[in-house]
Amino acid sequence: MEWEIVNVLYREMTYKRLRANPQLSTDWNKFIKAFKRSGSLKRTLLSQSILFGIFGLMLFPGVYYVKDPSGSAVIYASYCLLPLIMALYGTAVTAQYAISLGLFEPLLSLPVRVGGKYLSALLLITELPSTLFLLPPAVALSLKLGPVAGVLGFAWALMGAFIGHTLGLLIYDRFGKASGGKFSGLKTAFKAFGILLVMSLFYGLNYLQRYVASHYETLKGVFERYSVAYPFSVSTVEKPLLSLGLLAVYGLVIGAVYVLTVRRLWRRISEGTATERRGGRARLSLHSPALALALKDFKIATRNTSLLTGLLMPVVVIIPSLAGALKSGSEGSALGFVLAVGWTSAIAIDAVLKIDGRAFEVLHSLPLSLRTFLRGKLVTMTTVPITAGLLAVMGLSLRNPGSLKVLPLALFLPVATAGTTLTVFYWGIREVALPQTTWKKMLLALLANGIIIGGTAGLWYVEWFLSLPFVLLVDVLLLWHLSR
Amino acid sequence: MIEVENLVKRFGGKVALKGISFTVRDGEIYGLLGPNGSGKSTTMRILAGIIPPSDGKVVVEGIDVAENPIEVKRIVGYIPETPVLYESLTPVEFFSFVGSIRGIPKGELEERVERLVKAFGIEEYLGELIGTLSFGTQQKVSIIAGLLHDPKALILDEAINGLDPKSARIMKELLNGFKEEGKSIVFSTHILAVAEALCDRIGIIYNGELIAEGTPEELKRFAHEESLEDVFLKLTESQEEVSSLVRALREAF
Repeated sequence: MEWEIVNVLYREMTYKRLRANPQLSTDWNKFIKAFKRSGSLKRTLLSQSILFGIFGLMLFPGVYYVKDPSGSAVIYASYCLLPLIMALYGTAVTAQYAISLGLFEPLLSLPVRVGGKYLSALLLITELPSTLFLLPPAVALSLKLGPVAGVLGFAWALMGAFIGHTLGLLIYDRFGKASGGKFSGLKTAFKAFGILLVMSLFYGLNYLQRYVASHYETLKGVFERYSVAYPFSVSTVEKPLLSLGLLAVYGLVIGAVYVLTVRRLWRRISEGTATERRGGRARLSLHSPALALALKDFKIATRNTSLLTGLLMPVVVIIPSLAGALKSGSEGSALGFVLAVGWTSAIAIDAVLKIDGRAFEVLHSLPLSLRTFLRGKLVTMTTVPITAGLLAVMGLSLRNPGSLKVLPLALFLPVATAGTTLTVFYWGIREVALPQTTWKKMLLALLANGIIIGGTAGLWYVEWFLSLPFVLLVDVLLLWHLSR
Repeated sequence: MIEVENLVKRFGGKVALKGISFTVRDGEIYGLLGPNGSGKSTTMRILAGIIPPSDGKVVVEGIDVAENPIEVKRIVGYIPETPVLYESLTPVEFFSFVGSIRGIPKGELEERVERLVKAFGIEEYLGELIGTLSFGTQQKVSIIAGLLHDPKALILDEAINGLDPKSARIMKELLNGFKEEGKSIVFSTHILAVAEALCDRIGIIYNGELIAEGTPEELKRFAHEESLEDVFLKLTESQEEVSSLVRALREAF
């Protein structure tokens, strides 16, 4: 019965998520195919478990190939931050989403003893596969320190997910209101920071792995001193009784917080208090149609974490090239970074086209031409990469003032690549609509952007000032095309 | 004036509209009635320039819908049966967006928003996210957005559904006012008493065909029935079916 309810909730959540994707909801066959693929909870859990288990193999050597066996426990403990952060973030974000969909409404009128536990179970079950990321390193731990340590290590990883999940519920209960309220700008900034943090987790983990591996002897003392606190507590796996005792204490304390939070949450769901009134009455503000479209996109995205994640994705993708540019400080590496910004601007098309969701119908009822629509989407696509690019290049110029040479490219290259992608995807379409994202179009966009990026880089190395007129020419042609 | 001539709409192999024709004169409220799935909403969406006709001709205020849908959208106010809105915008943000796309001067927009918001009593919800509002309030937001540009023609697809009695009355009064101003209005509803009271002429659409047209009185005379409800049930061949279903339900309980 309980599994059945969670299963139905999951199917409903998946259905609504897919329906909100205009590229799927406008094509019934495509929609049904996607729903069959991801609407089964068992199938999703299985595929995600396998996927995370395979990814976890990357962490195996880090624990296994440490000379000092106790060093393995320290390194494994550092990995245990991962399930905590993933469960915390996943819970806080998905709880808001699941409740905003009104998933629990049909259950309220049924003689079912519905509780917040269903929300919790729905979120926890979908997050558990990510904990399997820690299974291969736990196996490595058991090979180094014995099977008891391995089992305890994995139990700590599960505990980490449970702590993260409980904290996520607590955060949602305290701060997860549906609308922005008085400090909506600040909340959005925190949300954006949180997204960047979680999305950069793998870069961070890579760095952490190397750092802990080379400093584990020093860190061992720190871990022993603070062994009561998670994730330092994970390193107690070498002392099974202590570790088991700590696990029991954590289970009791976090369990109590969990039960209280779930009860409070259920009150909120059943009484329908999951929304917040916004302070003050906003004023009407008019803009040009293209700008109004872009502003509307940003307002919607900043109030929806998954959309904001999509918009911020280019920033995350360019982090390694920014790190490279910062390390080297050369003009060439600054150019490499700007080219990466240009390249990643194009990938925002997917997120940008999803923003309107089912409300795309609103655009159909308005006197909006395709070109105005595309100009608006171009602004939405390029704002984040241009801002990130300009700020980063100005930052790089503090180290090497010569980097300022690439500043105009940071402004104009994203317009060229994003505009090219939009033009390719909308080629042959005459009215405001969602394009079919075919492989042919994707390859064509990739090729066209490759020519633009390659041309810019090639001309830079011939004579650095030649690259700017080339990019400007592409921009002018695109803007002319979008203004006709 | 809205002129519909031999309108056909196909969705793949399915023919939703099988060549319907009617005219809505200036200063007239034309009711489009029909059971669910009969083709009313499809007709309305074509009149509003949202979807193109497969065949036939639709001219709104002299503009051909198939040739220039954007110009039609500029002069038409379309209110769908289920409010389709950006749920994570507030009503003020949504009105600003619609006003910007329609190019309404700021003074006019402010004046119209103020007047309509007051009439529908949604002042206190202006700063809240649309997704958090009740269905009725969302419907009011949708109606206000459809009227912001002072449209020359109005297409209302069951727009009174979900409105409280006061707002429904205001809406009816507004429609009568628009009629007096000479606007052409196409109106669909399942509340036949409203249609009878409000519409100058009514067209009954069934299985994609316009099966009867006339004033409410003409339709009653034509079908030899006392009420518009009976006319509707008779013409849509539902009278017998309704009686047998009611009998079966009574036996079941």
